[in-house]
Amino acid sequence: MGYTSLSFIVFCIAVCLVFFCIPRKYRWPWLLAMSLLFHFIASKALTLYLVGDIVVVWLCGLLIQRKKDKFNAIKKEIDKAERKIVKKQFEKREKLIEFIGIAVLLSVLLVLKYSPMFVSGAFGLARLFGANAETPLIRFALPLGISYYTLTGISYMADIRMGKLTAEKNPLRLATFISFFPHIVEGPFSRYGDLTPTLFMPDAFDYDRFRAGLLRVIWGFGKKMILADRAAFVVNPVFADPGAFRGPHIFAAMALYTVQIYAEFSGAMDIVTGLCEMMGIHLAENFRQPFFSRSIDEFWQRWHITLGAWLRDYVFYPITFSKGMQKLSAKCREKLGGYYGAILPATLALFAVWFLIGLWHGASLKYVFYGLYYYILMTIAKLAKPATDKLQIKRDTRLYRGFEIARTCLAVLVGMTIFRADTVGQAFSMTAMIFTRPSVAAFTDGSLFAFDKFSWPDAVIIVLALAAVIFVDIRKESGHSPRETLVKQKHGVFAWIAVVLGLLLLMILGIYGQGSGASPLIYGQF
Amino acid sequence: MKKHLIRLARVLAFALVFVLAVNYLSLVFTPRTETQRFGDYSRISYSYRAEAPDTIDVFFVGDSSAYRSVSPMELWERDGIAACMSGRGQQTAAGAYKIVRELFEKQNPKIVFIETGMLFPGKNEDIKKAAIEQNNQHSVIRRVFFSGPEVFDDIGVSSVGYYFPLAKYHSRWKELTLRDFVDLNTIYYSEYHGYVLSGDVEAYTGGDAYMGNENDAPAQMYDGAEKKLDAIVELCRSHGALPVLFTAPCAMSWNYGKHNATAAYAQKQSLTYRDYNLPGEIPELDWLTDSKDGGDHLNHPGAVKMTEHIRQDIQTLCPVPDRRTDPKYTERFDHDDLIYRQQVQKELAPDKE
Repeated sequence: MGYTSLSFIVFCIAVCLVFFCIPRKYRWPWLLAMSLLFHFIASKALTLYLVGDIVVVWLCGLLIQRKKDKFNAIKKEIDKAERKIVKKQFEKREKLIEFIGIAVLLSVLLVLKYSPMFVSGAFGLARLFGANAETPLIRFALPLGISYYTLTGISYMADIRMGKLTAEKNPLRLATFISFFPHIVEGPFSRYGDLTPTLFMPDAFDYDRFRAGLLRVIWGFGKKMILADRAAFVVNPVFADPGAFRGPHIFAAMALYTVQIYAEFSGAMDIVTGLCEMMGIHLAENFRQPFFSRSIDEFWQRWHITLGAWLRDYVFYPITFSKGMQKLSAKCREKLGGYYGAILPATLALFAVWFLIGLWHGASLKYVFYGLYYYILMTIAKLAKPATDKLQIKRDTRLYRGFEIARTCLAVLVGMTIFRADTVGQAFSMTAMIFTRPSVAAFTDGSLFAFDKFSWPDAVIIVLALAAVIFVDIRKESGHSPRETLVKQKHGVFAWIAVVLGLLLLMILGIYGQGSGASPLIYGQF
Repeated sequence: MKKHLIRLARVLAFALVFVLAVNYLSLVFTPRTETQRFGDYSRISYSYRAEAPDTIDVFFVGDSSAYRSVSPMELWERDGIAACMSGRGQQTAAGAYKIVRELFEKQNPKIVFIETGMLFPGKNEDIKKAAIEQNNQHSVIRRVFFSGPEVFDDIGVSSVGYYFPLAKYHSRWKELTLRDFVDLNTIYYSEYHGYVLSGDVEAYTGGDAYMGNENDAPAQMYDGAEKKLDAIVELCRSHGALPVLFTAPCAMSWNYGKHNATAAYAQKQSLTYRDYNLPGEIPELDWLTDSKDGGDHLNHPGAVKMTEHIRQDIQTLCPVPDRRTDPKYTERFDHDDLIYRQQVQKELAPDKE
């Protein structure tokens, strides 16, 4: 059920209609039932994996909590010295339970999603050593959202073990959190402590908040159906056969893919966050105007925010604050001095983060390279900082900020090309073709608009839609939300005008219907 | 309380504005002619309204079997017969009566062919069972539940498109001109005079077995269908037109039970009845190549064969003038024939999309 499909729209309307009729305290069982139904419609019997994971997470959470409660009960009865020892023992057991839980969750994910990659890699290696072995075709059907709910479950167990949360005793409440249908397809990665206050007791109905949420949903639909799906008409054929196109076409496709993935992913987040907003549930933000970033580092703090935060809290910090890394850090500071001594251990920890980011996106070396591409760029920036600081460039001028933003956008464009291309080789050859296949004629002979289902009026729509997205992002970057401005207008007429106009534009300019060529969700496949 | 009422009034007002806007834009976006993309099948059934007064000599009325099986332009090309088709999916006898009644306000056809598929319910049981086994065609709810939301989306989007043509024709935004916003002409101009053309091929492999046994008991017509049929026959006769019953080849739903019932009715009313499903009626018809959907409807090659036999029957039953030298007819029919031929070539091209 894609977010922009009729079935999803009807499903959400049905959920909301009943939702608002139930007392607030009892809405979460309805959300649980609908989330499981949503998952079952998409995954059928594979929903058992989700249920199995929920059971494992719930049990492990309770067991970890039991250990904590036991320690808290006995710690007052023992002296300080012994308390330290006993605490370490209990923490060891808590970590063991957490480890078992994570191992179970990750094993399922690794087998279902990554075994084809491992098998292919193993047989490839065997052939390198002379074995005459054909790679068997292994493919498992994936339950909907397995990458998302696996990491959500891990964060829950880790938060209990770190003492940030108390384990949920009611398995149905935990199931509601993990299976919650707005965030199971493409995120955002929700934290139990952040989401559940409004998940189990949604805010009371508020007319302005409802309208604001509705506007956000329509905005999200527009980004996906008018902008992203339209850009795909150029992107798909060029990436399918780049050799058949000239430099300008390839550059246009690369740029449009960046537009497509941003519009689609952020649009999907607008849809689910807006929907939750209508229901009085607070979902975490996943985007913060990423193309205003001045560095790759900043970009990844603004793009897929919750994934970055998850990896920071559950991979980067544990590695950085581990005993081994602390020792290494001390040695580095001793040998390399202040700056490099501090960043080198962090850089090593970041390698793990970026390796996992790449791997999370897909079970192929291309995605690993994608993650490491950004890692290399960030590492170079960090290592070069002392040297660039010596140049004493005025970094706060408009010109320099503009240069940094443009530079970041270009770097992201290349990264997204790696992400979209079939192989890393294809990505680099496409980038090279921009320069090796120049063509002035491409700008005048109309070929830039001559794609299946795409002509120059579509290009105009892309430009106008992109201008609208940029305008809204500029406003949000400067701290003003156009949505809130509309909603807070006296009499609220403008908000309703925006709703009607938005719906009409969707109906007219949206890519939908049989044979329309509407694209499936990009991030939904992860 | 007052605040809530004002808010509710505002919501309803904007909902009304939205619905009105969608209805207006639906008129703007709906194609007016076949040459505009995505011809509207139900509007095609009213395309006789675009015919100049007193220019139709032969009229056909029925359901989708009718509009898929007889091509008025083939009749024009062969014998200069000025014909027009009014076919509509799920047409009823009552609907057909309204159309024929309206037709006679401006036209004086010599023959009115009435397709009989619309008179009877149900599809052939065996084929239905085979279709169920083959395609697992259960109730919509079951199909949606087990086959995924894709089925719901297909059905839903088609339904939304049917009631709100803006959703169906929204892709035409690039072709619109200012005139489309101003001239909300609801008369649909069909260059094919009501025929719906398809080059698709999906074989029906059951041969003539679908007809069943010659001695099968007469089937039951829909409630009220016979009465409406009487009214159509009466209307035709009172206007000097010869009413003729005909049944286009349809393996999915026609059989001897329905044939026998129709034949009995025709005898009662002293009507000519031509059932083109009977073995040997169209000997050159090949169900392996002449159906677009596994036996439910003919495709264009099948329709050409069927139309040839209808042409011969017209000349036998009630010869109509050859209008190919009359400018009153040629101005429209020759122009439409050109467009028809181009579309036939496109539709039958091997690399058709």
